Amino acid sequence: MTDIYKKSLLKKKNPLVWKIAECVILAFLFILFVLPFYYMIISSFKSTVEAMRNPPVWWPAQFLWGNFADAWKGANFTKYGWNSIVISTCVVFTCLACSVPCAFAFGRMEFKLKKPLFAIILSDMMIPVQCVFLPLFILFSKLGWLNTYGSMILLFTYSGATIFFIRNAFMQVNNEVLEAARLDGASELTVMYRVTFPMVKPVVVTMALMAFLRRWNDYFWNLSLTTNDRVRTLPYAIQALNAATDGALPRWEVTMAGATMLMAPMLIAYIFANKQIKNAFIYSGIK
Amino acid sequence: MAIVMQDIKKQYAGTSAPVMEHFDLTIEEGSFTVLLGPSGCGKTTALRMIAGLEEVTGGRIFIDENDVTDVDPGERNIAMVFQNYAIYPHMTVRGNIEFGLKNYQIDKEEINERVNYVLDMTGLSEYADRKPSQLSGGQRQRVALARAISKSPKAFLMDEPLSNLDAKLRIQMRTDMIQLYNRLKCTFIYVTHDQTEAMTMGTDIVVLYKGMIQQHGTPQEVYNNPSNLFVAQFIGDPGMNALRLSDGGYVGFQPRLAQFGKSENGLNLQGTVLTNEFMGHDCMITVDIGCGSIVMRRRETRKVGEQVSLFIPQENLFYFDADQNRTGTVQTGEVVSVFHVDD
Repeated sequence: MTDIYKKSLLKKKNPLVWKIAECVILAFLFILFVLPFYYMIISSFKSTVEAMRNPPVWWPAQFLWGNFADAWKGANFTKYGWNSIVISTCVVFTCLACSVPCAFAFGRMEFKLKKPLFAIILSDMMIPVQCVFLPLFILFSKLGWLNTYGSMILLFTYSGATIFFIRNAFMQVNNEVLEAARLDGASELTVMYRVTFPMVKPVVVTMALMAFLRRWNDYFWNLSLTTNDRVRTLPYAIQALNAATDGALPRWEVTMAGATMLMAPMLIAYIFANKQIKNAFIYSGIK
Repeated sequence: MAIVMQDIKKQYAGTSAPVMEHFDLTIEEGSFTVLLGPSGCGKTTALRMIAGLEEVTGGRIFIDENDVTDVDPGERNIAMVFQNYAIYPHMTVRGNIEFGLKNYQIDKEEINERVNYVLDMTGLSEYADRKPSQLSGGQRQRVALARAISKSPKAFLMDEPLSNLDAKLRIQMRTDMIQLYNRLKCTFIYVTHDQTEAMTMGTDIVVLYKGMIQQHGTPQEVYNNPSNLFVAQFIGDPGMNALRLSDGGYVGFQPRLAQFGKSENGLNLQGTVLTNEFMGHDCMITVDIGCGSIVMRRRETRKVGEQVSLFIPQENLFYFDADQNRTGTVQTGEVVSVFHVDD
């Protein structure tokens, strides 16, 4: 009868087999995710022939840095890059300015219709953009906002996902801290910005980066809300690089060089904010 | 008259029954009043209603004769110390103390003066520029106290402020808190479920159970003269033993007043020793008397399994009627069973 209590619940496993399996899975996933990026970067150094060759060339015979200069000139990086920077930066500020108070209200305040309103915000994350394209196009067209920075910024100001993640972060702030602040005579606005906001900063930084990235990489709205080049951004210009070959062979290496340059600022930002982003996702509470 | 809760009713949304009804409590100015009771008795709810963190469903709350029922927490001129300290983790010790003062738009010089005064008072001067994460639990609680003191409030509300500290530090902070009270001489309202804390610190104890005040008195009154069986069993370490009698009443006695042996004049019991816990100064001995077990605290020890006779002198017996309220009438029924209020 007592024997069963002596048996350990921990099962013996073979550590070496387990370790090898772990390494194989991780290596496979690593290759799966890194390979497209490697191919893009390495292709941007190839010659036109190498870029088109099948089977693919994994290491160019000669590194042609001139592709980047061609891409810069061909895609008019100065003009479209400026548009990209202005629009994406504005989106970060407008998106956070709207999302943070909204997330605070949903996370830390009580009001009527809170649940159904939040459900509407969540449902936005499930609707594909193509479904709302037409009504939005008509709306902006009637407002006379096509081909303006305004429409490009306004469209990305609202983000259900940003509200959702920041709300979750606000909800994890210890209630006693908020109550202490209210007892300290703080208004709700002070409670939000001076007390809770610094505590959810990792999440906000990550969301800012996401907002910037969403706008920076956008191609769909870039094309659908504009009819001329005045306010178009980089993804459009990179795509145009590929199209503007006038019957000649498409210069994939130049397109790839453009794409690499498009991605570079984001990659650098990720490297610097790496810790913040990880914190944001494993964020589990504040002591 | 400092703080008055008048005919308070509290019912949480979505619940069928109120947690508190017809609740009346007067807390004298300058008293150290302890709200004492088991979990869920309403002590924290009462404190939070005084603070304004919880709305009342009915009734009024007065602080210094001003009706504050609908006044914001920050406008009630009170300070609160929380169980989990609730200090702002991203601000330094100084920042934590300053935060409240800045909200009241006090001028800079006075803020500095106040902050330095409380830092000095709580022995935190050398930690002024540290973040809370660099402080120990005891120091964090002192920051919370310093923050409260800096506002010169009418009353300090404390919600189990020592329960997160280890045993040794708790005793130290208890002494600090008593000294602080003696120094400030302002109203303290202290919530705890620890009757030792209540007895050692309070000038007044309010024993709560199921949202009702069971007794309000000095620690001596509550300990020596419990008004009902709940208070008798809740106060003391451990509380009173109670025996149900055949006539419906109860007889109770304090563990340290039961003696080994037999006596003509008193209650005689017999039983077997179940456990014998050495407590340092004395032993806590659990005895099975056939219809349940009772606890005694004696300096002499007995072995586990030993048959013992014990008696409680007549003058040390407390009698309670069928409604568990204290009665002066001696109950003469036979012992039926051992009784615990929460049974």
